[in-house]
Amino acid sequence: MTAEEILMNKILSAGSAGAKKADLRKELGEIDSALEALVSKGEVFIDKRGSAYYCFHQSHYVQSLLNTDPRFRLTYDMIKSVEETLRSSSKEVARAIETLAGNVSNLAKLVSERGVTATAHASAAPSRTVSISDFKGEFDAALANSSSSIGWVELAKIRNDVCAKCGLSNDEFYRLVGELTGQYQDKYELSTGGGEGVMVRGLVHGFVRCI
Amino acid sequence: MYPYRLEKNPYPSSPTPTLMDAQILGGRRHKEAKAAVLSCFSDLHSKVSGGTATDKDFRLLTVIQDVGSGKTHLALHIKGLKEVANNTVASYVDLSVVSPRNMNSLYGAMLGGFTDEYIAIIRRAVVAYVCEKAERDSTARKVFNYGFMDSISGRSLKDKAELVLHNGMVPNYSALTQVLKKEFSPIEVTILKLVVEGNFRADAQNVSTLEDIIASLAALASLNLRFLKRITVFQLDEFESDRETTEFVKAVINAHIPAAALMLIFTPSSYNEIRQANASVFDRLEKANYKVDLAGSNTYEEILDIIMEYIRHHDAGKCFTPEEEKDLAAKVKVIYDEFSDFRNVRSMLNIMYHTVENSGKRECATIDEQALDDTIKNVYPGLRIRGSVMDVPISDFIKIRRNCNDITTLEAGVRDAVRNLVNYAHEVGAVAKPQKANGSGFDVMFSDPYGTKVAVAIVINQDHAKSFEQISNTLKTTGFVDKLVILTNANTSAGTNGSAVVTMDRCKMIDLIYFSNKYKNSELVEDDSQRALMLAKSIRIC
Repeated sequence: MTAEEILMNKILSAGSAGAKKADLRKELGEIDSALEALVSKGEVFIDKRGSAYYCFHQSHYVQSLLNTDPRFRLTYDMIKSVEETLRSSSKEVARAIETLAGNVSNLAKLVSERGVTATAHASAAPSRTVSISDFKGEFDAALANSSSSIGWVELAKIRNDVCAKCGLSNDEFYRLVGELTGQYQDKYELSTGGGEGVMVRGLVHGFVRCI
Repeated sequence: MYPYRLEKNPYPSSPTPTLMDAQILGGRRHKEAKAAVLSCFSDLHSKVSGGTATDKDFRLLTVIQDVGSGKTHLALHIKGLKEVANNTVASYVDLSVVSPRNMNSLYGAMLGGFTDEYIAIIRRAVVAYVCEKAERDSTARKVFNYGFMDSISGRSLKDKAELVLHNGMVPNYSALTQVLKKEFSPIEVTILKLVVEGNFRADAQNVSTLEDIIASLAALASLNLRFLKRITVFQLDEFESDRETTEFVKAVINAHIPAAALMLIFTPSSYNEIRQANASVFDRLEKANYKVDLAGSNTYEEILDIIMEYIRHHDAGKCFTPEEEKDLAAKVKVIYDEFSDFRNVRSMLNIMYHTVENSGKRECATIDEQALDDTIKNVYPGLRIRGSVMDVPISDFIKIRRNCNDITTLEAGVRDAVRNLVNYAHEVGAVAKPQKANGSGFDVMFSDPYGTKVAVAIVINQDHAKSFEQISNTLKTTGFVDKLVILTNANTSAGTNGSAVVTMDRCKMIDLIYFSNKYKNSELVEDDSQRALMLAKSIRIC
């Protein structure tokens, strides 16, 4: 064990109370060069307490200051609280960023899905490009195909056929049915009932027939 | 005094028809439906006129149409017809008032559906039959307690029969049973006794099973044929998909009651529900002998004819002139076209009832626009002309629309109105003073607040192809102005950066003319100012 190591162990064993330089010299003899080397490395700190010099290991020096220097303790506490605040803020920011990242990811997914659906719709049948005359053709064909013995057909049945062919939404379908039956009053007849249909006089008209 | 010199309001005031209201039946389709039903009854009657009927002599009729289209009216009308009454005995049942629905309540309702007049007739017929028997049969004489004292006091069997009919004496029911059981089945005897007793409808309490009910209905039909030489018609209105009713109807259909017809009245919605709820009944309905079709019962022609029929029926002096009819038809047409809510018989009759009342109170000779306006405002306060920016009252709307039937008048009116609207916009500071547009081919020229020179041209034609040509020519002259607005009735999207082609519907044109009339007569109020500017914006002139 070198002189430096012996000195270091001695100082370390003194803890936060520190080892008196005079006592070290008495015990170990000449220590100045070894002590200087340790101080220059930052492993040991020398502090004057009263009229004597004390040596502290780096791991105990802060505790020693906290025990003896109230100003240092206050400063240390303040720094600690700032550190604590920073740490909690960092955690919150990290959490927020994580949530945001999740949302952005979902949004991106949704946008990309919609894009795909819109493209699919656009390729199947361009949305709301169905003119009333084209719609009439499809509607008449569906009506003829689903016609019952009494002539009345559920609009929901026709909707299934026409929407599948023309790529129309339900709302758009019923809007066009309202327009068509209004325009050709003498050709179509609506009747109340059914689960869905055109609203007339506050009643759902879910059946249609050709006159 | 009511309009058209009528002594009373010809239109029914109740939301559903009564037997009295149903005496009048108008409309080509309703009359065709009536003819189909009468043909069915007549055909069946001819088959059983010999007095015998088999299970082949049963008919099933269905009347399927939307609510408020006149199904009940048709059924009641047919029931009340004299020509039908001569050949049939009809029981009308409104199933909506039968609750709870079970076989007994349904049978009770069917017995209740026969008129008191019928009960009196069959009672008289049965008593006459027993009386005739009594001439030869001593047991039958006991029915009337006819004895020696009666013969010496000069009282005949007929007198005693009359006493029974007028509840002057109680017949001997035991003797009656003895007489009847020789020729009739026990069920028939029970019914006949109840008929004589004057308690015919009490038979509903004598039945305990569906089989009994079917047997009783068959017995009733048989007795009607035997005593009155008439077929029996059961009219079941508001037929629905509930289990009790469908099973009951199924049993009646399966029974093939001889000399009887079952008339089922319901909506397409109920028909669909029955299809889903009871395939077996649906199959029977599909195979109905007559499917009475009221298709087109809510078309303008049909509703108009029904409206006219009420007036014709009550016009005892035949004073309702063709001119008055034409005038009324034009007014009805406007109501029909502009208010989809009234495109059914029931709603339109309600309007007509109130309109006639209103006209009567104001002592008008005809139904005028004011009466229609007041009626719609009072009876349907929430209704407005669809899409009217100027909130045109219905009376003015009707007047303007009628005046503008001629396309030349309409064009002149709109041209004048647009000039007035630009003048008004200038007066309120929305645009600069209009300039003279003489010889430029435009109708109005002015500058907007930014100094843009705007020209307005009006292109209204009956023939839209002509309008397209005119628009095309006008668009070539845009060099004179910064912005050109073409107002047209043709449906086109033509136009470039410097020009706009605005398609005006009939409502917009009427809005313009209404504004113009108010402007010319200095009748514009504060509210109208905002509306007028909105109208100007809607046709892009400010």
